[in-house]
Amino acid sequence: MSTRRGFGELEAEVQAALWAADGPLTAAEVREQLDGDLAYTTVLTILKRLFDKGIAVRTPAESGRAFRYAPAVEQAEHAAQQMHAYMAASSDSRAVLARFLGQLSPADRRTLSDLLRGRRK
Amino acid sequence: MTTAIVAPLLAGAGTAGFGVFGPALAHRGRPATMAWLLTLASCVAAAASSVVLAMLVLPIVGQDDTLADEFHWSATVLAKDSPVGRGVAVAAAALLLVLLGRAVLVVVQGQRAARSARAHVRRLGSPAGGLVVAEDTTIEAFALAGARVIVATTGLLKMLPPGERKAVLEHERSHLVHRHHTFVLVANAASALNPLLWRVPSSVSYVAERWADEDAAGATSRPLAAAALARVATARPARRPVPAIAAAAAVARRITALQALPPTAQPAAFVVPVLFVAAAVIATAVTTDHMWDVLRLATAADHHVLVHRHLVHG
Repeated sequence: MSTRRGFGELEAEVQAALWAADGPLTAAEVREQLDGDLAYTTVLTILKRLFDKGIAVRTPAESGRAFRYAPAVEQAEHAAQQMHAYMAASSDSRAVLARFLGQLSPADRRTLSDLLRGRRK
Repeated sequence: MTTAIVAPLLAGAGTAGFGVFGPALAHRGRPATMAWLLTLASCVAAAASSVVLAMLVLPIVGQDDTLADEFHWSATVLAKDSPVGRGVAVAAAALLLVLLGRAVLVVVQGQRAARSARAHVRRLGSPAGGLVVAEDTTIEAFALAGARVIVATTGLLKMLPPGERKAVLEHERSHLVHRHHTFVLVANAASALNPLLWRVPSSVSYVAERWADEDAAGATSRPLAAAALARVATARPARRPVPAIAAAAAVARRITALQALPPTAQPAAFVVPVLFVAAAVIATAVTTDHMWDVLRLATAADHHVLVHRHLVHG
């Protein structure tokens, strides 16, 4: 069941952390935002790769030689448009689309909230 | 005569039993095991029922003169000895054609979906194999199989704490790495071929989700994976149209399963479906064997006629 974790997965995780943040992050800040213990140099390498690919942008940090990294917004806006178009257009997308969670109806949601609340008590 | 009727019915009953008990027991075993079991067993069951239908058709098709000449059996004897009536054979032929058509349609649609997904990824302008972030307030994450890309909205990423973010990504990655869409596609094709398996595809989807949940739990922790599911489920604004893939019951079950101990192998979940499919395979073998005997008799009769002709007309 275990799957080998490669650079691609770490890249995705760092990318997600950049997006989740409210502003640009230094490599050290990114490292804090990750679940697990990644080496500082690994985080730096990944950030550099994201920058090279145009997925992240960077600005010099106030102090020292470090950079602050932020996600490239234009690409993500473009992705959002494409995503909506794709999901609206292709009715046959279900065959290849594995959503984290399907759409829930209002009734479904109530049932679920009740269940979760019942569980916590 | 009775074998000709009983064996095909038993084959049908075996696949029907699997079609009911396989999905009913699916949540009991380890998700990965059950995904493999359900998918492979549904293939075997669909193949068995198709062979049985073909066997019912054979005595009628075999009476065609060209075929009889080609395979050297006697059309007359076949017509006389045929264990199935013309009506049954014609019905079986029609059914087999319709079911084959359905299965082909499922596969074609699957391929079309994969093509459109790849085109979508090209439009996204992203190298395959990574994460594509969509700047959007909706809460959405999905894996695009065939294109090996995970799409997540900023709405989702901003909402989750680091550990849960990782759980969602690992869940989607598991779908891609283990090619879960192929399991679902195969189960769909099998159920198109044998409608008695209609419950199997949604069951395979469910165990694939559980499989991905377990992988996410393995990469993070069971509480984190459960929390991510619960948070996304309750945060997302509800909408009317429900493609009944993950209704509340299924999500609640997934969360409950993550809150429990890791799943262990349970013999019953494995043995019962296998027994039903085995019964179907045996009944199919008996059907085939019986039909083979009929054909052999017809062939022997044809041979007889040939020898006779040879002797008389020299």
